[in-house]
Amino acid sequence: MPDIYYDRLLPLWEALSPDMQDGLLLLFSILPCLMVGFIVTRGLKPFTLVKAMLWQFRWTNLVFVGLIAVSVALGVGLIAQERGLRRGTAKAAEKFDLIIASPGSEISNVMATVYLQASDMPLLDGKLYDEIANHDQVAFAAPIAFGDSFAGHPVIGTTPEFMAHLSGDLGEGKAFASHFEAVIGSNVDLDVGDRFTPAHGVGDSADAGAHDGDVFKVVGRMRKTGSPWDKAILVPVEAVWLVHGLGTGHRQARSGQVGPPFDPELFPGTPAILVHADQLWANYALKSEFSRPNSMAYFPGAVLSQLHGLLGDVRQVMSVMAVITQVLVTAGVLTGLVILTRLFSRRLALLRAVGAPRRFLFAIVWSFAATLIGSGALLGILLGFATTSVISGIVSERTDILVEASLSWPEFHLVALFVSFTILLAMFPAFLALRRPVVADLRT
Amino acid sequence: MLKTLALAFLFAAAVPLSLSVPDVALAASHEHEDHDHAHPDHSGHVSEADGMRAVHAWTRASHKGDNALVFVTLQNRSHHLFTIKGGHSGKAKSVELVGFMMKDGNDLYVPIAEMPIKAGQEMELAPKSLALRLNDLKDDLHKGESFEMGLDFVKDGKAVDIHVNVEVGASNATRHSHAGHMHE
Repeated sequence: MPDIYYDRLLPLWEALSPDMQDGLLLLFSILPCLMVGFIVTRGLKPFTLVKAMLWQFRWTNLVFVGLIAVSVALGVGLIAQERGLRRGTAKAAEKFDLIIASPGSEISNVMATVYLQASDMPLLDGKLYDEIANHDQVAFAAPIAFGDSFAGHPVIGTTPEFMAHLSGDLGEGKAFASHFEAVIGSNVDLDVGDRFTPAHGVGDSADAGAHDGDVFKVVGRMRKTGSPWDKAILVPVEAVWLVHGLGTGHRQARSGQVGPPFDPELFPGTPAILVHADQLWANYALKSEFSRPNSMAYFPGAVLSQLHGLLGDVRQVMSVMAVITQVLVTAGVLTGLVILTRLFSRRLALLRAVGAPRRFLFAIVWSFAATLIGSGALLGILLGFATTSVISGIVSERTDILVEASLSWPEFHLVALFVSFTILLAMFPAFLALRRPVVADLRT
Repeated sequence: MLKTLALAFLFAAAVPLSLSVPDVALAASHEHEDHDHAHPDHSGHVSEADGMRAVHAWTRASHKGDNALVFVTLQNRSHHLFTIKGGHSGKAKSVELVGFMMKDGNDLYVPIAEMPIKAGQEMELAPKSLALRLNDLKDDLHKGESFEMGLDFVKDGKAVDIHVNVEVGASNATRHSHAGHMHE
């Protein structure tokens, strides 16, 4: 006997395009609301009266709609950030295929190497670097040496290959070709031609005078990468070694050289090595080969994925909190509506007195509340686009990671669920309006 | 939740189809060629052929129709290059070697044609790294169960088929239940 769910239903579902699946999910989310609307208003025409009520109390209604809209906009705007942050952090890390470093915490290492949150790390020696750089599956291996800074910008020692890999063509100027030339990220407050002396260390504890006399000249500016490297200053790794009195990593005869090959015996050490292979499978082979007692090989993408798993959990919590907040705001609005119905209780009593069926009155009050909720939700989505953009800008500014969040299907599903639930709640003031004493209301 | 609701709706449309569409034979078309075979040891945790050992194969509890990733540690104790090309199992429509990558912030496993394992090298197929993907499972995989599947290797141009006992862990498992135990 065929398994209908798995053999027939699931393939049908999976045959749909992702947008069709999301569209169907949206339809199912909003379906309870549509069904209630159909049942409540079937055979009735309450909308002329509802329109009159909306107009008569337009300012109060606008406040209610505004409250719902702001609540929805903030909720979806915040939730969309999780996706934007996930994409932004992934984009920032996508150039970092495989990192080899000394054994330790992969998370600390990825924060230091990819996101430039400098930390003290043991150095890898020249023998290991040489083995990696000359491996037949490695396209290039770039040392990434950090620890110095200028005006809050991290100064990173690396190779011309890595700079080209990170930024492609430069936005301005040329690549560094001698030891004391530098290429700046797109958000560094320097210009091509400027000169600077780096401080030893980063942050408040940086020693500004430690490298006095070592002056770098800015010769180029990278294109925007959307990563913390936009605030970095790239210099030849030989220069980082030189200013620390460690030599250049090359023999005397080639002491002016920039970039590999380095002499394994003179290589001063590097906290991390970026490894790039032309073939995807080679990355796994290299990871396996260089995961040793004295070295750690990891994929920044895999580390990020673990962190994103945590973000996903946060998103779920945030989604629930957003819905609860929206429902609470709507409950407040509905309570206001209960009070508002007192304002037009005389009109409702008149309608009952002239023979209007109770169901008609119920339909009027429910339709009135549903219109406020629906309008608030729609306005909230429109506001949500603006809110999302503003919050993304703030997050990008604070994290140096380009976050480009935008509302998408998950947020629309959330709003649809919210609308369906609260429109069911809207039956409450409608029931209460029916319970009002007709005679007493007529006398008011 | 939403997906379940949507599937429930589609159910109505699917019932007539289920009565009219004939079953498609899904029998595995695994041909037995002239190649070496190996089966798991008595513990079920280790399989070995020609110096290639497969240790602690495991997967996660999954539903019929879904894909499941199988993880295993491969130890090449021979003096020859082995190349893993994929696998085969009666539990799934197909088995392929896949590698993890991140695309637009989402986890993605992309097919990899083959993976060479040098003499003396250990290759760990692990979450967010390399894995064997069982595509379109024919049955649910329940936690605590185990099943046998084949790993397809090539050594010196000759096919080597190593059968491993795959332990099914929890749906959120991150390692084999005996990970860390040594098998000599």
